[in-house]
Amino acid sequence: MTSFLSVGIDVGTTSTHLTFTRLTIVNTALVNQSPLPKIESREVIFQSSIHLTPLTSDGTIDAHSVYALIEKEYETAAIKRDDIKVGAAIVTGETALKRNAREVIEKLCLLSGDLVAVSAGPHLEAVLSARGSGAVAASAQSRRTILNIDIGGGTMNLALYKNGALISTHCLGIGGRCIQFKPDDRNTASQFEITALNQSGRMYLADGIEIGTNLKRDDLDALANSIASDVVSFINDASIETKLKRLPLTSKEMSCSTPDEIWLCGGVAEFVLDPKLDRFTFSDLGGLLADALILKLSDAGLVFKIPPHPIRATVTGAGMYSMQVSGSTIDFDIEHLPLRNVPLLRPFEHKDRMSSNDEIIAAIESAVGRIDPESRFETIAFELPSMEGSLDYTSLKRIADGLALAAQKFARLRPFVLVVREDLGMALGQLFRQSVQTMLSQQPNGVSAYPLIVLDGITTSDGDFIDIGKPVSLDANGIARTVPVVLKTLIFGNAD
Amino acid sequence: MNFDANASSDERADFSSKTPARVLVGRAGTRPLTSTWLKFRVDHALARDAICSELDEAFIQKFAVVNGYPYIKSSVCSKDEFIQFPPRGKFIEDETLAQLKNQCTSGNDVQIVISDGLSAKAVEKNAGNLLPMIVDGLKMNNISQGLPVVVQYGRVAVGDQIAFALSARVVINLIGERPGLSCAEGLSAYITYNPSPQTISSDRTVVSNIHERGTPAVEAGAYIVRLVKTILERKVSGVELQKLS
Repeated sequence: MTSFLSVGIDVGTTSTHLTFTRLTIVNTALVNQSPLPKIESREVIFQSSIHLTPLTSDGTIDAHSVYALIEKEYETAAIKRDDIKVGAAIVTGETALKRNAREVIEKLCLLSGDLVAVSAGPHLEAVLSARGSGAVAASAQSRRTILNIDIGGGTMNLALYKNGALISTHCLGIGGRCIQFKPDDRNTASQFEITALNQSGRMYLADGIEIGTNLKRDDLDALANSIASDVVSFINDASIETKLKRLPLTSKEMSCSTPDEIWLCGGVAEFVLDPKLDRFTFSDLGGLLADALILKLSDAGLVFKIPPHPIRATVTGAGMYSMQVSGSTIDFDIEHLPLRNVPLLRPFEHKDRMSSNDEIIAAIESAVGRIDPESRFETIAFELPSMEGSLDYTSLKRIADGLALAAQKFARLRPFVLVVREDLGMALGQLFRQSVQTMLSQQPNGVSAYPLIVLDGITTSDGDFIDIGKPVSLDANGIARTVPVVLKTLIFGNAD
Repeated sequence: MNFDANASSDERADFSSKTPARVLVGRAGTRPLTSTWLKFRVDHALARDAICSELDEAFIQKFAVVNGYPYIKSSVCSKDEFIQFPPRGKFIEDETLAQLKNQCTSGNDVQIVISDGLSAKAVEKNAGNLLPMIVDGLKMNNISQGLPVVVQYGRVAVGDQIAFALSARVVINLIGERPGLSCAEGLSAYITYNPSPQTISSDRTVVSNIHERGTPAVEAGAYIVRLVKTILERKVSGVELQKLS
């Protein structure tokens, strides 16, 4: 049994906060069977206060202040950066704010340990929030279809789960901060002077309304109502044309089947949880949007729930669920671990595309050429297609021979990293090393041994980069060892 | 979890996919449905067939004869005798041992034995992928090995007799598992340090459930090589190996 400290950091459009989680890995296999590592428990050990995300005068995130804020929370929790083994820091929400996301992330990396994933993108956000809110577990337990909606300042991220399995994710490009007004007016005021207005806010307001325009409370309610009613119509029938579909950031592909239950989380859901909370706390539309949404959901006869700490859903998910453990029978040269930010390529569509050495080498060559024409990466990971139907010695040996030749060709990639879907990591590792040994004996001056890492047992769906941590032993003799793995999606590759 | 008659077929399928056990199969009055009952009878027949199965001649030819592996009998003469008197499968006639000593090299690090045990089908299905992984892996690690020996009507302890006669430091007995109602093709590897007629069950390290839906044979092979390496280094196997850290 081994435990890890994991950190989740969420830098959002409106708020910034973190959690520390203790993850415990155990061997769940029966005696005499090859070990099966699982993350057995996830215990939140610290939750920071919720801070307003510090912004600079040009409307981007103030990286320096965010760093200071997070550093302070580490001190409060009495946790040192070296204690943290895994986790995720996420910059969420609106595009405009994220212009300097890279700078923010680089700063935050200074604060985290060995292996912290740094991700964004609405798909991952939606999934982490649904996991963190408990919607996924509830869906698995009750076997119902649950739609988790995380409503933040900049976006709404939707994740639909059925029987605990992900059906789809969607992003709607609007949130509580689509419009902001002068803070000192508050709820007693009859006039609200607009101080900021983003593209999404503009689309829902009449022409001519600009920064500096005074709006009445009725105008704001109407605005919140029209957004809420489009959201509800999207939930009921995603094919209906509304303004929502033309918003920036909104997912291109739309299909959403009506759920049994809706879980609301994110900062805006805090207003639903606490009716006494001042609707203008953040001087934006968040409070009114929350009220409008529950009204429209109830009118439509949709059942909704609020988890206990809605604003913390994403950060909790990030701390708890960003890490996976590999299979226990894998192969690695330990001196090359940990590895960070290794691009994960899928050079082969199907195992039939691995029928000869030349085909294997050509596929790897073209995949490497696409992502790394200038040979910037020290190493690249290659995910193999499903080997179903080729689990036999002869087929696997042939494939290992081809891969060893490819490794020889790309000897600059050290170590050579392979990810295989079926429980074949150790077998493929042995056969690969055998091929290298044979090559060595045939041309003693030509090749040197290639460092190798072969993993199995992980889910890589749409991950673009992979972090691989140091191994953890599952038995007293260290024959069966697992490595913690974090998959990341493209961080800065979106059309920002 | 409660499942009522209204559970959707989706839900049933999802739940059933998590276990090979006969769950959510419904009933007709106090009895199982005919289809369930027939499926049960089929699986039971498969298990019985596996126990009664003999190593196929074509398989022996391809697997043992071509490679020059000795193919011997335990002290049992027939399948019927093996099933009626299981303990006899643990022993080997002296003359068979003498013949082995002639044919095989002695004093190796590892002696591999392949036995039909309670499922010859398990051997036929998995040995062809498992054995080369072990043989290759031992070679790569410079661990010496004798000719693998194939035993008809063998039980786990037969490996101890063979390895003792050939003075091997470790024996690996790859043997067909007792078939169950969900799998009749599972193979196990029993690995023992310093095997002898005095070896007892707690001296053995086991890797079980080697089959298509369990641990794939190739992966089990690579894992067994690492186990054997550790056992040779630590000079102990079985429960005592688990206690070491």
